[in-house]
Amino acid sequence: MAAKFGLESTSYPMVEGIQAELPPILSIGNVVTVALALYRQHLWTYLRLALIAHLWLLVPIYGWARFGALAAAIAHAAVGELMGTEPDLAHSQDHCLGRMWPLWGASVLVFLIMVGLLLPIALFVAALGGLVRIISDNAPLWLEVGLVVLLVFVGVGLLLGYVWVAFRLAVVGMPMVVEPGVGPLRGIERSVQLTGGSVLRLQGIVSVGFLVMLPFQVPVQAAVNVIQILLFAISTLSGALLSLLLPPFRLLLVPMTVVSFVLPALFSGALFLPFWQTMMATLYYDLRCRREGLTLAWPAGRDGGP
Amino acid sequence: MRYFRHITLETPESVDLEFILAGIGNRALALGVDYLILLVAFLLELLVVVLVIQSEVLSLSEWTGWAWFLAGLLLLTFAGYAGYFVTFETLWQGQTPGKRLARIRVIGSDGRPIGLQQATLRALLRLIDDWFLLGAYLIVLTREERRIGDLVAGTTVIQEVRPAGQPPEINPEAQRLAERWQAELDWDTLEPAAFGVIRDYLQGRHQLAAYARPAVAENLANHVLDLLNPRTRPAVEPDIYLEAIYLAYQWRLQSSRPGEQL
Repeated sequence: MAAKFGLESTSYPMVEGIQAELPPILSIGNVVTVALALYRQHLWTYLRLALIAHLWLLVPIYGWARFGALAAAIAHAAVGELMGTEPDLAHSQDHCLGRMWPLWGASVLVFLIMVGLLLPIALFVAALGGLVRIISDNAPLWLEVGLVVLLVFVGVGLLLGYVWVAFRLAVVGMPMVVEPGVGPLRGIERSVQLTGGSVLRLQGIVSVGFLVMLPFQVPVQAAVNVIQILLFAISTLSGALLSLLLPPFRLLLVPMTVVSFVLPALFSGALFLPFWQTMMATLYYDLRCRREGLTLAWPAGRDGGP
Repeated sequence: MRYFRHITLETPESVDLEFILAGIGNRALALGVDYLILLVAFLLELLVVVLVIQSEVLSLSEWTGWAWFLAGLLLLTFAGYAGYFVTFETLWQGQTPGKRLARIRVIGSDGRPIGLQQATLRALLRLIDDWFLLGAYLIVLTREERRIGDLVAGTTVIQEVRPAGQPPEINPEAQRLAERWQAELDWDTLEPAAFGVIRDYLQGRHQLAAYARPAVAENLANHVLDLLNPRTRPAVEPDIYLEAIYLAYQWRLQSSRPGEQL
């Protein structure tokens, strides 16, 4: 639409169908509740896709990229539902698989940024530690104590800063699959844009998410460990017996042991992946509402779409 | 609503009240905050105990003396733990500091604030609900989100009703425009729902990011312009334009239906 107020229309698409069921903005706890409700409503379809995604993890590079795309598909379907479109996981899957390599590129970029930040931090800490050591030689006690306290403060500050950066990059994948024409670099830019001024809130939401998952994580982890030990015992015993009878079978011993540990772990990963993906979708949706007025669309005949 | 569960309670006067249930997220947040506070209190208690033992005020040489000391301490700790919830939920009408932060509240099954007895039952059964994780399963999996303590005490945890937002700030220029337009424009073409969107924008605009706000305002202003008759094109910023429309529309509503607040 031509700008009638002399401002160029920018590309923050308004969305069809305001969800009257959701309040205009979500509180910390409500983000988690909505995310869990989304997972519960699509438990089996999301879980199935998460399991397939986790099996792809066994294939290096290509499989990892595919994992990322399938995980993103869950978030895409969830955010579509929040924005009022018909839920269609198959469509989301095709849509995200079409962006598989850009998505993977973005996660590699984010990984490189986070690792790249560690290097200067480590150098700085090492240099500071060396300096403190030189100063504190033959120094009075108060100076020594003061320097240690200073070091602790610097360390905590650096850690907080590092976590802060990680949270600014928390939703990189979402604009890449929701907004048109967003590549890895623009995705990072959008994530930084959207999370501005919201890091503490995001940390609160993620903490509550962990707290809510705890009662489920504990029994699942226990069960997974029991299954791992059982599988391990069965595979080593039967493997040993078989390799006595058929010596070439010995080659299979190590892979069988690995599989007995990896498969149950993949299963438990798949169980929790949809929750974190619906969390990311809800977070992204809420940030769009708060920061960009997503739900301030016109009640009838809105323009654009995700 | 699909994302939040609802409950309808009947008051003793046979009035049905509908509430939105708190949800697992808000309850986990409230619990986390309350337990953080209790953890700090517990650490302070430990500190005091260590200081007391070190100062040798208590000359507990006998084993039984220490046993009594320990028993008293345990009792005191438990009393503090339960007392925290009982005191706050009774005095703050079903809220603890954590619940206040999460904007949730415990109410009785008749929709009324809970009393001492209900708060005590909830606090005592917390031991089972919180420490054996049973409460979490019941809240996530059952329709009324009641943990054992809620079931026994006959209570429900609900979201607090959000009070209507502050009336938006209106620029004096918008006020002048509104006075002029009130008579000039045909207001029947602007639906109440559209007015609601304008109000939501004016109330929440300070939260919008600086890079997004002009586009949102412009978009809304353009839509208003399309709806109005005649399509007066003002030479003002979209914000002032929207404020003027908001004000004029509200005046008109108030004059047609006096006393009603939008």
